[in-house]
Amino acid sequence: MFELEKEIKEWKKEFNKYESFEDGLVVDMELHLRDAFASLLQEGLSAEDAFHKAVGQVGTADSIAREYRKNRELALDRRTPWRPARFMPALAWNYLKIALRKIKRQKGFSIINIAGLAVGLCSCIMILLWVQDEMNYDRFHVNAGAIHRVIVHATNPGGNVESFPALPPNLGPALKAEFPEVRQMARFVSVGQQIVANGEKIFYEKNVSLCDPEFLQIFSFPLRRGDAKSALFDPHAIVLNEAAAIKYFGKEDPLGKTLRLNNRGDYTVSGILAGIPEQSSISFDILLPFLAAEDFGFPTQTWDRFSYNTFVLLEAGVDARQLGEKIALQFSRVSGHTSMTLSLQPLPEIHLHSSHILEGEERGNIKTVFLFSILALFVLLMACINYLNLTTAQGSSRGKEIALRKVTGARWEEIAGQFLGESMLQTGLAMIIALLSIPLCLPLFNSLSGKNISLSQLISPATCGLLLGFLLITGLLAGLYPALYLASLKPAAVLKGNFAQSAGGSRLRKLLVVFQFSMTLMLIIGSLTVFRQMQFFKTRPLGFNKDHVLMLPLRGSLSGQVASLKAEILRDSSITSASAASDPAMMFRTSITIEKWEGQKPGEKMECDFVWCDEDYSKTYGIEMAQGQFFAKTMNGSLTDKIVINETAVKALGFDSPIGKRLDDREIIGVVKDFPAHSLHTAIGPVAMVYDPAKFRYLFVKIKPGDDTTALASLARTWKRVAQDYPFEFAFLDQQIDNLYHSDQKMGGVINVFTLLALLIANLGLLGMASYLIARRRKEIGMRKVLGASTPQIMAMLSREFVKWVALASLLACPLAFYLMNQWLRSFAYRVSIGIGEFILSITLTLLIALLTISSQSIRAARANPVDSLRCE
Amino acid sequence: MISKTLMAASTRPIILAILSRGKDYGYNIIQRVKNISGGSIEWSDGMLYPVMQRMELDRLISSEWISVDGGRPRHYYRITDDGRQALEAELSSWQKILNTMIHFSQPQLVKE
Repeated sequence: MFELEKEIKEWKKEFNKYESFEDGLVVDMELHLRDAFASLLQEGLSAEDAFHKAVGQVGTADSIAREYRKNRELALDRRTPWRPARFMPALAWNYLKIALRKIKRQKGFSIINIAGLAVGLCSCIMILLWVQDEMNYDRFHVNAGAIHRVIVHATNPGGNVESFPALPPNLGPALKAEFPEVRQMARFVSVGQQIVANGEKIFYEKNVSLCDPEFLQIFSFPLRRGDAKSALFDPHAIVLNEAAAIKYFGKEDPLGKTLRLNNRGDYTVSGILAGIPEQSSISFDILLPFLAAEDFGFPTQTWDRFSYNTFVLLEAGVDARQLGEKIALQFSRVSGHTSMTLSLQPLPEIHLHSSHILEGEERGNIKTVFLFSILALFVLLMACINYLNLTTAQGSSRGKEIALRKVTGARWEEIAGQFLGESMLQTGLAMIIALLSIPLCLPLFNSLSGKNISLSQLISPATCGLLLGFLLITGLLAGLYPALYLASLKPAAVLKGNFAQSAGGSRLRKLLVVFQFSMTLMLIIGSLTVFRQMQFFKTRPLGFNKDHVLMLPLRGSLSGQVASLKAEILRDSSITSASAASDPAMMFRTSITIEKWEGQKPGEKMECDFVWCDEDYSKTYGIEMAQGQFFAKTMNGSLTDKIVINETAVKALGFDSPIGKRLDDREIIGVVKDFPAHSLHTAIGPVAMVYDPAKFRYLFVKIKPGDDTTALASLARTWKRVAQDYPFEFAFLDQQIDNLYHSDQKMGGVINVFTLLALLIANLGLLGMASYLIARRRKEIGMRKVLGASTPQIMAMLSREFVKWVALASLLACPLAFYLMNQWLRSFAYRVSIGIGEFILSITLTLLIALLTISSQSIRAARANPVDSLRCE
Repeated sequence: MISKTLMAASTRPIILAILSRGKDYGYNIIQRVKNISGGSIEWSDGMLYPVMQRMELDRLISSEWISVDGGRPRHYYRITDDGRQALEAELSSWQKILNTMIHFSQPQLVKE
């Protein structure tokens, strides 16, 4: 049966869906339909047919609604009046007011959030400055992009490829002559410490270098006086840096004056360099012309001695990789070194990408750059997690506000925008605090990293852009989830009062806290492992005694006076022994290849660390003999025909009784117990020791323990008497050895700082979460107390939850930390094993700190009078 | 068949013309157009109302609810003074268009 009213009601529903049908408009439609229906009925149609035809005549709701909408659209943004404007200035002001009020009212949470973010941002900015500094090495050279360093890759008898930047002197000129791609070439070599004198003013100069005249043209070291093109043409020219010039000549004009080197040759000052920029991977204080090389024992014409850093300036557009291959081919053809190949390393890569290259310089490492950046970002991430957790947890306190805004027409985008704005505001405040605290932290950071970063670096446009990026990304990271979460609250539920935290939200918060604690735990385990490895380096028995040994450099004619020098020095009873040698233990610079020995397999060779030393080396160092004897003046025959090796060498050679056997053309007279020729990063290999006074570079003096000052004073007096032409300079061997681990220690220091920061931020977050969770359980605690629970019981109950989190974090962190630390330790040949001790210690420490943190909240809650919490019902 | 564009352009002048004879309501307006044009002008009924709203927003017409003889209340539209002026302007425009069209459609006298 057709029911008109029912059908019309159904039909109207379609129209009511559209908001363009404002009040009364649907009535027009209905009346029209009824008129049309009535007249169709009069025409004789059945009621049902008349209705359907009338509906057809009126048309579809959709198309009519569209026309109505067009009438109403505003000119500016095509918005209809019943929609709120996208931006309302009055609301923006309200958002700001509310945000500031919230920061003020919830002081605790605000301090945790802003302080955490400030610490995170501050460490990120520091690391950013440091990374920029590391990345900018050598960029000050105008030609930086076109300068390359030649690297040799040599396959040693053991089959390993070793890369080093030292090349024979013949290579440079050959490259210039045969390859048109090479515009200019310069050889450069450090000749180490030299004695430089202007009359009475005598100093050791640690960093004297030889180079081709073109060196000053290829590179852009700023020359203050003199001419870059001609300064180093004369074989007796010398170029000083400014500090050295002032040291020797004071206020006089140094140009044209002479300096005497090693009490032998005179050199005329032809140029003054302004200081070498710190971000230079090439360092020197004094430059001498290549033509003077032979005076310092360096060859000028050979393919067989690998001494010179060789730099080439390429023509524009030359492919360095292809050229490197061509040069390598030519090199093995001309020099006859068939087991070697060459490549070109771009100048800007020298600082960070040379970890595989054997050289004396302490360089940066791209891996360290990554590690530090990641650590800084982690600290920031932890601060963001605090913000996220505390803000979503507090949702209930903002719930009514959000619900009211929604009821009065706020869309969820607006709510989300409001909360994102709040997080941006807090991040902005944190950024301001971070920037203000940078001047305070920079000196600390500089001493930790060994850098000299200045504030002015912060002011460049690129850095400012990056900081702005940091700000936005941090604000988003911290605020996006809370904003979306809060904006999706259902106003009906909130206003009805049965607002409950969703299980998902609180699960996420727990997960994030657990993540924070895993990170912190990993960092603590890492710090402990680094610390233990460093202790291990300091305390591991080395096979010699590094304490109370002084190193004095022997220069010029001094190496010929060793015997008299030693005799004079040993007169003092506080000095127990003295020895001269080419290198100190753990800092050997030479290796040789043993080619001939008894029982050798065909083609077998042995690579051997090598030192020239005198008969007192083993006594001064306390190196023990395993077999035979050390060099002694009383021996028959020439001492230079004899050789002493270590136990590892004996094993490698396969000797049962080595004494008396011959290695090449030397006779083995003794075997010493193993001692390291290099730092403990590398394993102890075969060592050979040979007697040769001509090669001595250091005098080592062993002092009686406890007599340091008197021994030093008497040593200085003796030195003045015997070697008045040479300055008295010394170093302690143990300090020099500690310096071998300088970069490891630096890394350890930085990791310690990050660990502390992470611990601080994680616990701040925990404090916030604890105070929030405990506040929510106030009534429960009150009830429990009324029913007879004691304060300790309640504290235990409240702490149980947090203990669970730390336990879960330990489960996650321990395997990962174990893996990562094992990876790191692998870079050392001698290392500690990761013990269960570190793990237990780290977990206990974390747990204790966490419990201590929450105890401030839980004690208060547990001791509160239940009357106060229950009364308000 | 009258084209869509012409239909759209002529709707407002026709409504104004109808209302210039006195107030009327939506359904009746449509019926009158249909009758006078002999069915050749056929509006889809619902579309009339947005046009009326637009014209009211433009103050060419005004509207009120009137119940005649106790029957159901109807939404009556009335032309305003602005509407009358607009109608005159429309009429003269249409006249000019029609004149121009007619002028060029007549056979042309060819001068010897």
